[in-house]
Amino acid sequence: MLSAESLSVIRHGRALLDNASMEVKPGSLHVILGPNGAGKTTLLKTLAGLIAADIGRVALEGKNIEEYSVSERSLTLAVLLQEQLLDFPFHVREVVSMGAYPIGAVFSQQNYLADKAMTALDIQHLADRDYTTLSGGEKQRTHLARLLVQISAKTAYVLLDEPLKAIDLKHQVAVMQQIRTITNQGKAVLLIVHDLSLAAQFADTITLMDSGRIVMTGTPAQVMQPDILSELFQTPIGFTEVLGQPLFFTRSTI
Amino acid sequence: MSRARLKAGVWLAVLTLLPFFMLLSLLKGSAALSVTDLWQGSDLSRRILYELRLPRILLVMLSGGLLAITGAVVQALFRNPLADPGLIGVSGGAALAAVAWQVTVSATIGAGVVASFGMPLAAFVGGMLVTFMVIRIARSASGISSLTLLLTGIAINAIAAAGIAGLKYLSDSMTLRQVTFWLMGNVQGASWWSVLTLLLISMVFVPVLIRYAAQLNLLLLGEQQAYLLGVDVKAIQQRLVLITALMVGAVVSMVGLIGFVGLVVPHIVRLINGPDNRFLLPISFLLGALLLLVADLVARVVASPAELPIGLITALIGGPVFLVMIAYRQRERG
Repeated sequence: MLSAESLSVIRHGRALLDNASMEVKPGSLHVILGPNGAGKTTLLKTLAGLIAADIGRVALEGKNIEEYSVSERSLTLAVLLQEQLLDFPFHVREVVSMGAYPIGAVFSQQNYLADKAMTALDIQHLADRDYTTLSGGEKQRTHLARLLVQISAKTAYVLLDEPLKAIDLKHQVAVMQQIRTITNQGKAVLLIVHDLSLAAQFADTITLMDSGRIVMTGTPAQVMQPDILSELFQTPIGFTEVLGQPLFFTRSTI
Repeated sequence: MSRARLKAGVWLAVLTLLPFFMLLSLLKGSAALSVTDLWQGSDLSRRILYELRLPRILLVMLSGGLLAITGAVVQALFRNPLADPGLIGVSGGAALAAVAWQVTVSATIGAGVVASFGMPLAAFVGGMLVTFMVIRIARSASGISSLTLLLTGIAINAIAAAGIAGLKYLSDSMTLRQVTFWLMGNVQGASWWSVLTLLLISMVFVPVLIRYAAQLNLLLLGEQQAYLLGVDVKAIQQRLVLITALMVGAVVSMVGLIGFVGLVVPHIVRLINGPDNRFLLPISFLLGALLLLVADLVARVVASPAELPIGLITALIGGPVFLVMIAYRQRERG
Protein backbone atom coordinates (compact mmCIF):
# COMPACT_ATOMS: atom_id res chain seq x y z
CA MET A 1 0.00 0.00 0.00
CA LEU A 2 1.12 3.53 -0.81
CA SER A 3 -0.65 6.02 1.39
CA ALA A 4 -0.75 9.74 1.88
CA GLU A 5 -1.41 10.50 5.54
CA SER A 6 -2.75 14.04 6.13
CA LEU A 7 -0.30 15.65 3.74
CA SER A 8 0.11 19.40 3.66
CA VAL A 9 2.59 21.16 1.42
CA ILE A 10 2.94 24.89 1.87
CA ARG A 11 4.93 27.05 -0.53
CA HIS A 12 5.13 30.85 -0.44
CA GLY A 13 2.36 31.00 2.14
CA ARG A 14 -0.04 28.98 -0.05
CA ALA A 15 -1.19 25.47 0.68
CA LEU A 16 -0.53 23.40 -2.45
CA LEU A 17 -1.76 20.38 -0.55
CA ASP A 18 -4.14 20.75 2.37
CA ASN A 19 -4.53 17.79 4.69
CA ALA A 20 -4.72 15.28 1.83
CA SER A 21 -5.11 11.60 2.65
CA MET A 22 -5.49 8.76 0.18
CA GLU A 23 -4.44 5.20 -0.48
CA VAL A 24 -3.23 3.45 -3.60
CA LYS A 25 -3.95 -0.26 -3.38
CA PRO A 26 -2.13 -3.12 -5.14
CA GLY A 27 -3.89 -4.45 -8.21
CA SER A 28 -6.03 -1.40 -8.76
CA LEU A 29 -6.11 1.70 -10.93
CA HIS A 30 -6.59 4.88 -8.95
CA VAL A 31 -7.38 7.98 -11.02
CA ILE A 32 -7.07 11.56 -9.79
CA LEU A 33 -9.30 14.16 -11.42
CA GLY A 34 -9.49 17.88 -10.84
CA PRO A 35 -9.14 21.29 -12.44
CA ASN A 36 -5.76 22.90 -13.20
CA GLY A 37 -3.96 23.91 -10.05
CA ALA A 38 -5.94 21.49 -7.88
CA GLY A 39 -2.71 19.98 -6.54
CA LYS A 40 -2.77 16.71 -8.50
CA THR A 41 0.88 16.89 -9.59
CA THR A 42 1.99 18.11 -6.15
CA LEU A 43 0.24 15.11 -4.59
CA LEU A 44 1.89 12.74 -7.06
CA LYS A 45 5.34 14.25 -6.51
CA THR A 46 4.89 14.13 -2.75
CA LEU A 47 3.86 10.48 -2.97
CA ALA A 48 6.98 9.87 -5.08
CA GLY A 49 9.20 11.47 -2.43
CA LEU A 50 10.23 14.35 -4.70
CA ILE A 51 8.51 16.94 -2.53
CA ALA A 52 8.83 16.78 1.25
CA ALA A 53 5.51 17.29 3.00
CA ASP A 54 5.43 20.04 5.62
CA ILE A 55 2.83 18.13 7.62
CA GLY A 56 1.89 14.45 7.39
CA ARG A 57 3.83 11.58 5.88
CA VAL A 58 3.92 9.22 2.93
CA ALA A 59 4.01 5.55 3.78
CA LEU A 60 5.24 3.07 1.19
CA GLU A 61 4.41 -0.46 2.35
CA GLY A 62 4.21 0.81 5.91
CA LYS A 63 7.60 2.52 5.85
CA ASN A 64 8.12 6.27 5.60
CA ILE A 65 9.15 7.07 2.04
CA GLU A 66 12.06 9.18 3.28
CA GLU A 67 13.58 6.13 4.93
CA TYR A 68 14.04 4.37 1.60
CA SER A 69 17.44 4.55 -0.06
CA VAL A 70 17.41 6.05 -3.54
CA SER A 71 18.00 2.71 -5.27
CA GLU A 72 15.64 0.73 -3.02
CA ARG A 73 12.85 3.19 -3.77
CA SER A 74 13.46 3.08 -7.53
CA LEU A 75 12.83 -0.67 -7.36
CA THR A 76 9.56 -0.27 -5.47
CA LEU A 77 8.11 2.81 -7.10
CA ALA A 78 8.22 3.96 -10.73
CA VAL A 79 7.13 7.42 -11.80
CA LEU A 80 6.47 9.14 -15.10
CA LEU A 81 6.59 12.90 -14.67
CA GLN A 82 4.60 15.30 -16.80
CA GLU A 83 7.56 17.29 -18.11
CA GLN A 84 10.18 15.47 -20.14
CA LEU A 85 13.48 17.37 -20.20
CA LEU A 86 15.66 15.11 -22.34
CA ASP A 87 17.30 17.17 -25.08
CA PHE A 88 20.21 15.01 -26.23
CA PRO A 89 20.15 12.95 -29.45
CA PHE A 90 19.94 9.47 -27.94
CA HIS A 91 18.39 6.73 -30.04
CA VAL A 92 14.92 5.71 -28.89
CA ARG A 93 16.24 2.28 -27.91
CA GLU A 94 18.88 3.91 -25.68
CA VAL A 95 16.25 6.02 -23.89
CA VAL A 96 14.01 3.00 -23.35
CA SER A 97 16.96 0.97 -22.03
CA MET A 98 17.64 3.63 -19.39
CA GLY A 99 14.70 2.10 -17.54
CA ALA A 100 16.86 -0.95 -16.89
CA TYR A 101 19.29 1.03 -14.72
CA PRO A 102 17.61 0.35 -11.35
CA ILE A 103 17.24 -3.37 -12.02
CA GLY A 104 20.87 -3.61 -13.14
CA ALA A 105 20.05 -5.81 -16.14
CA VAL A 106 22.84 -7.15 -18.30
CA PHE A 107 23.02 -5.91 -21.87
CA SER A 108 21.20 -8.81 -23.60
CA GLN A 109 18.40 -8.73 -21.03
CA GLN A 110 18.19 -4.94 -21.38
CA ASN A 111 17.72 -5.35 -25.11
CA TYR A 112 15.04 -7.98 -24.61
CA LEU A 113 13.12 -5.80 -22.14
CA ALA A 114 13.48 -2.74 -24.37
CA ASP A 115 12.18 -4.64 -27.39
CA LYS A 116 9.21 -5.92 -25.44
CA ALA A 117 8.37 -2.46 -24.12
CA MET A 118 8.76 -0.82 -27.53
CA THR A 119 6.46 -3.40 -29.09
CA ALA A 120 3.86 -2.82 -26.38
CA LEU A 121 3.80 0.89 -27.18
CA ASP A 122 4.16 0.45 -30.92
CA ILE A 123 7.46 2.34 -31.26
CA GLN A 124 9.53 -0.64 -32.40
CA HIS A 125 9.93 1.01 -35.83
CA LEU A 126 11.46 4.10 -34.15
CA ALA A 127 14.11 2.12 -32.23
CA ASP A 128 17.08 3.62 -34.11
CA ARG A 129 15.62 7.10 -34.54
CA ASP A 130 17.12 10.17 -32.86
CA TYR A 131 14.86 10.92 -29.89
CA THR A 132 15.04 14.68 -30.38
CA THR A 133 13.45 14.38 -33.85
CA LEU A 134 10.31 12.62 -32.58
CA SER A 135 6.85 14.17 -32.27
CA GLY A 136 5.44 14.94 -28.82
CA GLY A 137 3.32 11.79 -28.71
CA GLU A 138 6.18 9.57 -29.89
CA LYS A 139 8.45 11.05 -27.19
CA GLN A 140 5.79 10.37 -24.58
CA ARG A 141 5.45 6.75 -25.75
CA THR A 142 9.23 6.40 -25.58
CA HIS A 143 9.21 7.45 -21.93
CA LEU A 144 6.28 5.14 -21.21
CA ALA A 145 8.29 2.29 -22.73
CA ARG A 146 11.22 3.28 -20.48
CA LEU A 147 8.85 3.03 -17.53
CA LEU A 148 7.65 -0.42 -18.66
CA VAL A 149 11.28 -1.58 -18.63
CA GLN A 150 11.77 -0.18 -15.14
CA ILE A 151 8.71 -1.98 -13.74
CA SER A 152 9.50 -5.30 -15.40
CA ALA A 153 11.14 -6.34 -12.13
CA LYS A 154 9.35 -6.28 -8.82
CA THR A 155 8.21 -2.64 -8.85
CA ALA A 156 4.81 -2.59 -7.17
CA TYR A 157 3.72 1.04 -7.51
CA VAL A 158 3.43 3.12 -10.66
CA LEU A 159 2.62 6.83 -10.67
CA LEU A 160 1.72 8.43 -14.01
CA ASP A 161 1.26 12.16 -14.47
CA GLU A 162 -0.78 12.73 -17.65
CA PRO A 163 0.78 9.88 -19.64
CA LEU A 164 -1.71 10.36 -22.48
CA LYS A 165 -0.55 13.90 -23.18
CA ALA A 166 -0.07 14.39 -26.96
CA ILE A 167 -0.80 10.71 -27.70
CA ASP A 168 -3.24 9.92 -30.50
CA LEU A 169 -6.45 7.94 -29.93
CA LYS A 170 -5.20 4.59 -31.18
CA HIS A 171 -2.20 4.69 -28.89
CA GLN A 172 -4.20 6.05 -25.95
CA VAL A 173 -6.06 2.75 -26.08
CA ALA A 174 -2.73 0.89 -26.21
CA VAL A 175 -1.51 2.80 -23.14
CA MET A 176 -4.72 2.10 -21.22
CA GLN A 177 -4.41 -1.59 -22.12
CA GLN A 178 -0.86 -1.57 -20.77
CA ILE A 179 -2.10 0.03 -17.56
CA ARG A 180 -4.74 -2.70 -17.28
CA THR A 181 -2.03 -5.34 -17.77
CA ILE A 182 0.04 -3.70 -15.03
CA THR A 183 -2.79 -3.73 -12.50
CA ASN A 184 -3.65 -7.32 -13.46
CA GLN A 185 -0.09 -8.22 -12.43
CA GLY A 186 -1.02 -6.99 -8.96
CA LYS A 187 0.75 -3.66 -9.21
CA ALA A 188 -0.87 -0.41 -8.10
CA VAL A 189 -1.28 2.45 -10.57
CA LEU A 190 -1.99 6.09 -9.73
CA LEU A 191 -3.01 8.02 -12.81
CA ILE A 192 -3.62 11.71 -13.44
CA VAL A 193 -5.74 12.34 -16.57
CA HIS A 194 -8.18 14.94 -17.83
CA ASP A 195 -10.43 12.64 -19.83
CA LEU A 196 -13.51 12.02 -17.67
CA SER A 197 -15.00 9.28 -19.87
CA LEU A 198 -11.73 7.39 -19.90
CA ALA A 199 -11.46 7.69 -16.10
CA ALA A 200 -15.01 6.44 -15.64
CA GLN A 201 -14.41 3.54 -17.99
CA PHE A 202 -11.10 2.22 -16.63
CA ALA A 203 -10.68 3.35 -13.01
CA ASP A 204 -11.25 1.16 -9.97
CA THR A 205 -11.13 4.16 -7.65
CA ILE A 206 -11.41 7.87 -8.41
CA THR A 207 -10.28 10.79 -6.26
CA LEU A 208 -11.51 14.30 -6.98
CA MET A 209 -9.24 17.19 -6.00
CA ASP A 210 -9.73 20.93 -5.76
CA SER A 211 -7.53 23.71 -4.27
CA GLY A 212 -5.12 21.27 -2.67
CA ARG A 213 -7.89 19.33 -0.95
CA ILE A 214 -9.33 15.89 -1.59
CA VAL A 215 -12.99 16.48 -2.37
CA MET A 216 -14.13 12.89 -2.63
CA THR A 217 -12.87 9.37 -3.16
CA GLY A 218 -14.95 6.45 -4.35
CA THR A 219 -15.85 4.06 -7.14
CA PRO A 220 -16.60 5.59 -10.57
CA ALA A 221 -20.32 5.01 -9.93
CA GLN A 222 -20.17 6.99 -6.68
CA VAL A 223 -17.96 9.82 -7.85
CA MET A 224 -18.74 10.37 -11.51
CA GLN A 225 -22.04 12.22 -11.08
CA PRO A 226 -22.68 15.08 -13.51
CA ASP A 227 -23.68 17.47 -10.73
CA ILE A 228 -20.56 16.72 -8.64
CA LEU A 229 -18.32 17.09 -11.67
CA SER A 230 -20.03 20.29 -12.86
CA GLU A 231 -19.44 21.77 -9.42
CA LEU A 232 -15.80 20.63 -9.35
CA PHE A 233 -14.89 21.89 -12.82
CA GLN A 234 -17.12 24.99 -12.61
CA THR A 235 -18.70 24.19 -15.94
CA PRO A 236 -21.87 22.27 -16.83
CA ILE A 237 -21.00 18.65 -17.58
CA GLY A 238 -23.40 16.16 -19.15
CA PHE A 239 -23.38 12.39 -19.15
CA THR A 240 -24.71 9.68 -21.43
CA GLU A 241 -23.97 6.08 -22.25
CA VAL A 242 -23.00 5.07 -25.74
CA LEU A 243 -22.73 1.36 -26.58
CA GLY A 244 -22.46 0.60 -22.89
CA GLN A 245 -19.58 3.02 -22.32
CA PRO A 246 -19.78 6.16 -20.18
CA LEU A 247 -19.46 9.43 -22.07
CA PHE A 248 -19.00 12.79 -20.36
CA PHE A 249 -19.21 16.05 -22.28
CA THR A 250 -19.30 19.79 -21.59
CA ARG A 251 -22.69 21.39 -22.06
CA SER A 252 -21.51 24.94 -22.46
CA THR A 253 -21.96 26.49 -25.84
CA ILE A 254 -19.28 28.67 -27.33
CA MET B 1 23.55 -0.96 -36.50
CA SER B 2 25.64 1.71 -38.20
CA ARG B 3 26.39 3.47 -34.92
CA ALA B 4 28.26 0.46 -33.57
CA ARG B 5 30.48 0.33 -36.63
CA LEU B 6 31.13 4.07 -36.44
CA LYS B 7 32.13 3.72 -32.81
CA ALA B 8 34.71 1.10 -33.66
CA GLY B 9 35.97 3.25 -36.51
CA VAL B 10 36.48 6.30 -34.31
CA TRP B 11 38.32 4.29 -31.69
CA LEU B 12 40.60 2.89 -34.35
CA ALA B 13 41.25 6.25 -36.01
CA VAL B 14 42.11 8.00 -32.76
CA LEU B 15 44.27 5.16 -31.52
CA THR B 16 46.33 5.06 -34.71
CA LEU B 17 46.60 8.81 -35.19
CA LEU B 18 47.75 9.41 -31.61
CA PRO B 19 51.13 7.59 -31.82
CA PHE B 20 51.63 8.92 -35.33
CA PHE B 21 51.30 12.54 -34.24
CA MET B 22 53.34 11.87 -31.11
CA LEU B 23 56.23 10.75 -33.26
CA LEU B 24 55.77 13.62 -35.69
CA SER B 25 55.62 16.05 -32.78
CA LEU B 26 58.82 14.64 -31.29
CA LEU B 27 60.74 15.12 -34.51
CA LYS B 28 59.36 18.42 -35.81
CA GLY B 29 60.19 21.81 -34.38
CA SER B 30 62.77 24.57 -34.56
CA ALA B 31 65.44 21.86 -34.52
CA ALA B 32 64.49 19.07 -36.91
CA LEU B 33 65.41 15.59 -35.76
CA SER B 34 65.27 12.24 -37.48
CA VAL B 35 63.83 8.97 -36.23
CA THR B 36 67.28 7.55 -35.52
CA ASP B 37 67.95 10.39 -33.06
CA LEU B 38 65.44 8.68 -30.78
CA TRP B 39 68.02 6.06 -29.80
CA GLN B 40 71.40 7.16 -31.17
CA GLY B 41 71.41 10.94 -31.35
CA SER B 42 73.93 13.39 -29.99
CA ASP B 43 73.75 14.69 -26.45
CA LEU B 44 72.01 17.79 -27.69
CA SER B 45 69.33 15.97 -29.64
CA ARG B 46 68.76 13.67 -26.67
CA ARG B 47 68.29 16.66 -24.41
CA ILE B 48 65.89 18.25 -26.87
CA LEU B 49 63.94 15.00 -27.07
CA TYR B 50 63.74 13.92 -23.48
CA GLU B 51 63.97 17.16 -21.54
CA LEU B 52 62.08 19.49 -23.86
CA ARG B 53 59.82 17.77 -26.37
CA LEU B 54 58.72 14.58 -24.67
CA PRO B 55 57.54 16.21 -21.42
CA ARG B 56 55.93 18.96 -23.46
CA ILE B 57 54.08 16.50 -25.69
CA LEU B 58 52.89 14.47 -22.73
CA LEU B 59 51.80 17.60 -20.88
CA VAL B 60 49.88 18.80 -23.92
CA MET B 61 48.18 15.45 -24.42
CA LEU B 62 47.19 15.05 -20.79
CA SER B 63 45.89 18.63 -20.67
CA GLY B 64 43.87 18.11 -23.85
CA GLY B 65 42.43 14.86 -22.56
CA LEU B 66 41.50 16.32 -19.18
CA LEU B 67 39.97 19.47 -20.67
CA ALA B 68 37.90 17.41 -23.12
CA ILE B 69 36.59 14.92 -20.55
CA THR B 70 35.75 17.67 -18.05
CA GLY B 71 33.86 19.43 -20.85
CA ALA B 72 31.82 16.29 -21.48
CA VAL B 73 31.11 15.82 -17.76
CA VAL B 74 30.14 19.46 -17.21
CA GLN B 75 27.80 19.25 -20.22
CA ALA B 76 26.04 16.26 -18.69
CA LEU B 77 25.89 17.89 -15.25
CA PHE B 78 24.30 21.01 -16.71
CA ARG B 79 22.33 19.02 -19.31
CA ASN B 80 23.62 21.48 -21.87
CA PRO B 81 26.00 20.78 -24.76
CA LEU B 82 27.16 24.40 -24.76
CA ALA B 83 28.62 24.19 -21.25
CA ASP B 84 32.39 24.33 -21.18
CA PRO B 85 34.64 24.94 -18.18
CA GLY B 86 36.09 27.96 -20.01
CA LEU B 87 32.80 29.46 -21.15
CA ILE B 88 30.97 29.10 -17.84
CA GLY B 89 33.84 30.69 -15.92
CA VAL B 90 35.38 27.69 -14.13
CA SER B 91 38.74 28.13 -15.84
CA GLY B 92 38.56 31.88 -15.22
CA GLY B 93 37.95 31.34 -11.51
CA ALA B 94 40.79 28.84 -11.38
CA ALA B 95 43.09 31.26 -13.20
CA LEU B 96 42.20 34.14 -10.89
CA ALA B 97 42.94 32.04 -7.82
CA ALA B 98 46.19 30.79 -9.33
CA VAL B 99 47.33 34.30 -10.28
CA ALA B 100 46.43 35.53 -6.81
CA TRP B 101 48.61 32.79 -5.36
CA GLN B 102 51.42 33.58 -7.78
CA VAL B 103 51.39 37.31 -7.12
CA THR B 104 50.97 37.18 -3.35
CA VAL B 105 52.45 33.99 -1.90
CA SER B 106 54.94 32.87 -4.55
CA ALA B 107 56.27 36.38 -5.04
CA THR B 108 56.88 36.70 -1.30
CA ILE B 109 58.35 33.33 -0.38
CA GLY B 110 60.01 32.63 -3.72
CA ALA B 111 59.65 29.60 -5.94
CA GLY B 112 59.79 26.61 -3.64
CA VAL B 113 57.82 23.46 -2.96
CA VAL B 114 55.03 25.35 -1.18
CA ALA B 115 54.71 27.78 -4.07
CA SER B 116 54.54 25.13 -6.79
CA PHE B 117 52.15 22.83 -4.92
CA GLY B 118 50.04 25.74 -3.73
CA MET B 119 49.25 27.07 -7.17
CA PRO B 120 47.34 24.06 -8.50
CA LEU B 121 45.61 23.85 -5.13
CA ALA B 122 44.56 27.49 -5.34
CA ALA B 123 43.35 26.93 -8.92
CA PHE B 124 41.35 23.91 -7.75
CA VAL B 125 39.65 25.91 -4.99
CA GLY B 126 38.90 28.79 -7.39
CA GLY B 127 37.43 26.45 -10.01
CA MET B 128 35.35 24.62 -7.43
CA LEU B 129 33.89 27.79 -5.92
CA VAL B 130 32.90 29.03 -9.37
CA THR B 131 31.26 25.72 -10.33
CA PHE B 132 29.11 25.63 -7.20
CA MET B 133 28.22 29.28 -7.75
CA VAL B 134 27.20 28.65 -11.37
CA ILE B 135 25.04 25.69 -10.32
CA ARG B 136 23.31 27.82 -7.69
CA ILE B 137 22.66 30.71 -10.04
CA ALA B 138 21.76 28.90 -13.26
CA ARG B 139 19.60 26.10 -11.89
CA SER B 140 15.85 26.40 -11.83
CA ALA B 141 13.07 23.85 -11.36
CA SER B 142 13.01 22.96 -15.04
CA GLY B 143 16.75 22.62 -15.38
CA ILE B 144 19.50 24.92 -16.47
CA SER B 145 19.02 27.29 -19.37
CA SER B 146 21.78 27.91 -21.89
CA LEU B 147 21.23 31.62 -21.66
CA THR B 148 21.59 31.87 -17.88
CA LEU B 149 24.54 29.53 -17.96
CA LEU B 150 26.45 31.50 -20.57
CA LEU B 151 25.51 34.87 -19.09
CA THR B 152 26.75 33.68 -15.71
CA GLY B 153 29.94 32.62 -17.46
CA ILE B 154 30.36 36.04 -19.05
CA ALA B 155 29.92 37.75 -15.70
CA ILE B 156 32.34 35.45 -13.91
CA ASN B 157 34.91 35.72 -16.67
CA ALA B 158 34.63 39.53 -16.51
CA ILE B 159 35.18 39.47 -12.76
CA ALA B 160 38.11 37.07 -13.13
CA ALA B 161 39.66 39.20 -15.90
CA ALA B 162 39.33 42.33 -13.78
CA GLY B 163 40.83 40.55 -10.78
CA ILE B 164 43.72 39.25 -12.84
CA ALA B 165 44.34 42.70 -14.34
CA GLY B 166 44.36 44.21 -10.86
CA LEU B 167 46.78 41.59 -9.58
CA LYS B 168 49.06 42.12 -12.57
CA TYR B 169 49.12 45.80 -11.72
CA LEU B 170 50.31 44.94 -8.21
CA SER B 171 52.97 42.48 -9.28
CA ASP B 172 56.63 43.06 -10.06
CA SER B 173 57.85 42.88 -13.64
CA MET B 174 59.23 39.36 -13.32
CA THR B 175 55.96 37.89 -12.04
CA LEU B 176 54.04 39.96 -14.57
CA ARG B 177 55.92 38.36 -17.46
CA GLN B 178 55.41 34.89 -16.08
CA VAL B 179 51.70 35.40 -15.48
CA THR B 180 51.09 36.95 -18.89
CA PHE B 181 52.74 34.14 -20.83
CA TRP B 182 51.21 31.46 -18.69
CA LEU B 183 47.69 32.83 -19.17
CA MET B 184 47.98 32.67 -22.95
CA GLY B 185 48.43 28.93 -22.73
CA ASN B 186 52.04 28.21 -22.04
CA VAL B 187 53.43 24.73 -22.55
CA GLN B 188 57.06 25.69 -23.10
CA GLY B 189 58.12 25.28 -19.52
CA ALA B 190 56.85 21.71 -19.36
CA SER B 191 58.57 19.83 -16.59
CA TRP B 192 58.43 16.13 -15.78
CA TRP B 193 56.97 17.19 -12.46
CA SER B 194 53.89 18.73 -14.09
CA VAL B 195 53.56 15.72 -16.43
CA LEU B 196 53.56 13.38 -13.46
CA THR B 197 50.96 15.45 -11.61
CA LEU B 198 48.54 15.39 -14.54
CA LEU B 199 49.30 11.72 -15.20
CA LEU B 200 48.47 10.85 -11.60
CA ILE B 201 45.23 12.85 -11.70
CA SER B 202 44.25 11.20 -15.00
CA MET B 203 45.02 7.71 -13.81
CA VAL B 204 43.05 8.11 -10.61
CA PHE B 205 40.09 10.22 -11.68
CA VAL B 206 39.40 9.48 -15.35
CA PRO B 207 38.28 5.93 -14.45
CA VAL B 208 36.13 7.41 -11.68
CA LEU B 209 34.42 9.74 -14.16
CA ILE B 210 33.86 6.89 -16.60
CA ARG B 211 32.31 4.84 -13.79
CA TYR B 212 29.66 7.55 -13.44
CA ALA B 213 28.86 7.55 -17.18
CA ALA B 214 25.63 5.54 -16.90
CA GLN B 215 24.36 7.83 -14.14
CA LEU B 216 25.29 10.88 -16.23
CA ASN B 217 23.13 9.46 -19.03
CA LEU B 218 20.17 9.25 -16.68
CA LEU B 219 20.86 12.76 -15.42
CA LEU B 220 20.12 13.96 -18.96
CA LEU B 221 16.48 12.90 -18.38
CA GLY B 222 16.29 15.60 -15.73
CA GLU B 223 17.39 15.58 -12.11
CA GLN B 224 14.03 14.44 -10.73
CA GLN B 225 13.58 11.66 -13.26
CA ALA B 226 17.16 10.48 -12.66
CA TYR B 227 16.51 10.47 -8.91
CA LEU B 228 13.36 8.38 -9.50
CA LEU B 229 15.44 5.90 -11.48
CA GLY B 230 17.73 5.40 -8.50
CA VAL B 231 20.50 7.94 -9.11
CA ASP B 232 21.70 9.72 -5.99
CA VAL B 233 21.73 13.03 -7.86
CA LYS B 234 23.04 15.36 -5.13
CA ALA B 235 25.91 13.09 -4.14
CA ILE B 236 26.97 12.57 -7.75
CA GLN B 237 26.80 16.26 -8.59
CA GLN B 238 28.98 17.13 -5.62
CA ARG B 239 31.54 14.46 -6.39
CA LEU B 240 31.73 15.33 -10.07
CA VAL B 241 32.01 19.06 -9.41
CA LEU B 242 34.96 18.36 -7.10
CA ILE B 243 36.67 16.09 -9.62
CA THR B 244 36.17 18.39 -12.61
CA ALA B 245 37.32 21.42 -10.58
CA LEU B 246 40.41 19.48 -9.56
CA MET B 247 41.13 18.57 -13.17
CA VAL B 248 40.50 22.06 -14.54
CA GLY B 249 42.47 23.62 -11.68
CA ALA B 250 45.43 21.33 -12.29
CA VAL B 251 45.43 21.93 -16.04
CA VAL B 252 45.02 25.71 -15.69
CA SER B 253 47.82 25.94 -13.17
CA MET B 254 50.14 23.91 -15.40
CA VAL B 255 49.43 25.30 -18.86
CA GLY B 256 47.27 28.39 -18.36
CA LEU B 257 44.06 29.10 -20.20
CA ILE B 258 43.42 26.89 -23.22
CA GLY B 259 39.86 27.40 -24.38
CA PHE B 260 37.29 25.48 -26.39
CA VAL B 261 38.80 21.99 -26.12
CA GLY B 262 36.09 20.96 -23.67
CA LEU B 263 33.44 22.30 -26.01
CA VAL B 264 34.61 21.12 -29.41
CA VAL B 265 35.84 17.61 -28.64
CA PRO B 266 32.70 16.18 -26.96
CA HIS B 267 30.64 17.87 -29.66
CA ILE B 268 32.51 16.06 -32.42
CA VAL B 269 32.27 12.74 -30.61
CA ARG B 270 28.53 13.24 -30.02
CA LEU B 271 27.96 14.05 -33.70
CA ILE B 272 29.54 10.79 -34.78
CA ASN B 273 28.55 8.46 -31.95
CA GLY B 274 25.64 9.95 -30.11
CA PRO B 275 25.50 11.24 -26.56
CA ASP B 276 26.04 7.98 -24.60
CA ASN B 277 28.50 9.06 -21.89
CA ARG B 278 29.84 5.54 -21.48
CA PHE B 279 31.47 6.07 -24.85
CA LEU B 280 31.66 9.86 -24.91
CA LEU B 281 33.88 10.21 -21.84
CA PRO B 282 36.75 7.87 -22.74
CA ILE B 283 36.81 8.79 -26.43
CA SER B 284 36.69 12.51 -25.58
CA PHE B 285 39.75 12.04 -23.39
CA LEU B 286 41.66 10.44 -26.27
CA LEU B 287 40.42 12.83 -28.93
CA GLY B 288 41.16 15.80 -26.67
CA ALA B 289 44.71 14.55 -26.29
CA LEU B 290 45.00 14.20 -30.06
CA LEU B 291 43.47 17.60 -30.83
CA LEU B 292 45.73 19.52 -28.46
CA LEU B 293 48.74 17.55 -29.65
CA VAL B 294 48.02 18.64 -33.22
CA ALA B 295 47.30 22.21 -32.11
CA ASP B 296 50.66 22.31 -30.33
CA LEU B 297 52.42 20.94 -33.38
CA VAL B 298 50.83 23.64 -35.54
CA ALA B 299 51.74 26.29 -32.98
CA ARG B 300 55.38 25.23 -33.09
CA VAL B 301 55.75 24.66 -36.80
CA VAL B 302 53.71 27.37 -38.47
CA ALA B 303 55.94 30.33 -37.55
CA SER B 304 59.10 28.38 -36.72
CA PRO B 305 61.46 29.18 -35.07
CA ALA B 306 58.97 31.41 -33.26
CA GLU B 307 56.04 29.78 -31.43
CA LEU B 308 52.43 30.80 -31.29
CA PRO B 309 50.59 30.42 -27.97
CA ILE B 310 48.64 27.16 -28.08
CA GLY B 311 45.55 28.91 -26.71
CA LEU B 312 45.50 30.97 -29.89
CA ILE B 313 45.26 27.86 -32.07
CA THR B 314 42.47 26.26 -30.04
CA ALA B 315 40.52 29.53 -30.08
CA LEU B 316 40.96 29.74 -33.86
CA ILE B 317 39.44 26.27 -34.24
CA GLY B 318 37.00 26.43 -31.33
CA GLY B 319 35.53 29.89 -31.89
CA PRO B 320 34.07 29.14 -35.33
CA VAL B 321 32.85 25.70 -34.24
CA PHE B 322 31.09 27.33 -31.29
CA LEU B 323 29.44 29.85 -33.63
CA VAL B 324 28.20 27.10 -35.91
CA MET B 325 26.82 25.19 -32.92
CA ILE B 326 24.90 28.25 -31.72
CA ALA B 327 23.56 28.99 -35.21
CA TYR B 328 22.48 25.38 -35.66
CA ARG B 329 20.68 25.24 -32.32
CA GLN B 330 19.05 28.58 -33.05
CA ARG B 331 17.70 27.34 -36.37
CA GLU B 332 16.44 24.08 -34.83
CA ARG B 333 14.46 25.93 -32.18
CA GLY B 334 12.92 28.02 -34.94
